[in-house]
Amino acid sequence: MQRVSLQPGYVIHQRDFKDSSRIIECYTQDYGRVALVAKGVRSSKKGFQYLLQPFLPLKLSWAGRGELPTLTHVEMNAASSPHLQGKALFCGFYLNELIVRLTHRHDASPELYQCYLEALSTLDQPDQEEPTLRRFEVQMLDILGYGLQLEVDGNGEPIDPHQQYYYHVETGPMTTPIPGIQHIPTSGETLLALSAGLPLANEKQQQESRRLMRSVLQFHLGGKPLQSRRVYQQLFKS
Amino acid sequence: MEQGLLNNLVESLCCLPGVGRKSAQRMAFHLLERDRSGGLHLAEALDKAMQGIGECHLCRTFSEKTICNRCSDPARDQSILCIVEMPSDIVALSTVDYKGLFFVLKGRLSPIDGIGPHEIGLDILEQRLAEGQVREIILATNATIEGQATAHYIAEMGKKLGIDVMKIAQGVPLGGELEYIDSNTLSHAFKSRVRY
Ligand SMILES: [Zn+2]
Repeated sequence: MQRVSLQPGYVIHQRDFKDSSRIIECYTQDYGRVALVAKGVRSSKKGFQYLLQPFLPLKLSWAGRGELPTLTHVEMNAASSPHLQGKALFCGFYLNELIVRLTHRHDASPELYQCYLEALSTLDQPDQEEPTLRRFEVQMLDILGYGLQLEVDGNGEPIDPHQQYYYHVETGPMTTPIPGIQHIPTSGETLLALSAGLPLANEKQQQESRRLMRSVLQFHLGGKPLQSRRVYQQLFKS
Repeated sequence: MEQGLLNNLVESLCCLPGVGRKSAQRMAFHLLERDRSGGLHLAEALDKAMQGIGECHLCRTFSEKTICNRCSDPARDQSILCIVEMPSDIVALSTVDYKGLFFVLKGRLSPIDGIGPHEIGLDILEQRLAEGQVREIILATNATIEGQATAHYIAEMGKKLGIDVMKIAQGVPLGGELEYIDSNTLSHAFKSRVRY
């Protein structure tokens, strides 16, 4: 029997379970991603179900054995929360999907949790969507052990900001493309900016880093594409 | 439970929400022992409803006709469109004094589940709005994050087409005491305060 009390965390996804309950997928500070059953929340009008929403800073308590403990208590962890709207909100869904797809249940990382928190609060500021997503993607892959090679090229030479590179997950940045492998062309400048977590200076850097991260993530996610990206494109790129 | 027909009936009843094997068995026995004519009537009504009910081409709610009674009612104001998530929301709103029309999304944007604009009929809605008859939309999606995301997107769509976009108010429920209301609802109510 495990009993956890007032653990800081966020709801990242939920689905209906049996007739009146929900399975709440949460990302927590000290327990990583956990799935909890919120019993009876679909039928009762009282209680904490109104708090079970993505992007609200929560404190969660649960108890139980095995893979699916029961959520016993929820309260707000802070008086106010970022109020994501429009594009920023859909970027938030994208962050949540990355967490669902790339982290394992119970794989705790207070460090990644902190990055998630920071990403949510910068998304709340105007026009910070792209840089926030890129920074989070780089940090997340790094923490999960899939870090990109951004400071030295495939031959161990330091990255030259004025050089054009060709990036592949298994080779890192190469100065010449290897035939038969799909590389993402990326400038040294962009690689260094991503490495330092610097703001991406111009449209070219943003585009390069977007392509680079998309291809690296695709590699780690296997064949199944990210749903939230497809929806985002339908909503905002038409 | 070996007999084919009885077993089949019990298993079929299990498709109802909230009905497990035990209560399905109770229902089956009740119909067989006490109310065979009721059972036949139910079978006929189910058959007719499942065959005959489709969706209205205009508002996407359940309807036997291609255009439902509400949408073809000349007494209703064709220039106001209230947008809801589920057909059951129309029922909930039927007690409200509202003379316009409805549009049912049958869902909400839920990016992680792959539910995008096409899946909830937003292309159909956009066409409808572009026809020019609708002058005002009232957003009545749920007050969940997904409901808000959906509302935001539809609002942008409406504004681009020069349509008045309204949204139902969120705040203190009637009979509600402030100290028992959650802080999010309170801060919403505070932000959307109105002149007294
Ligand atoms: Zn209709």
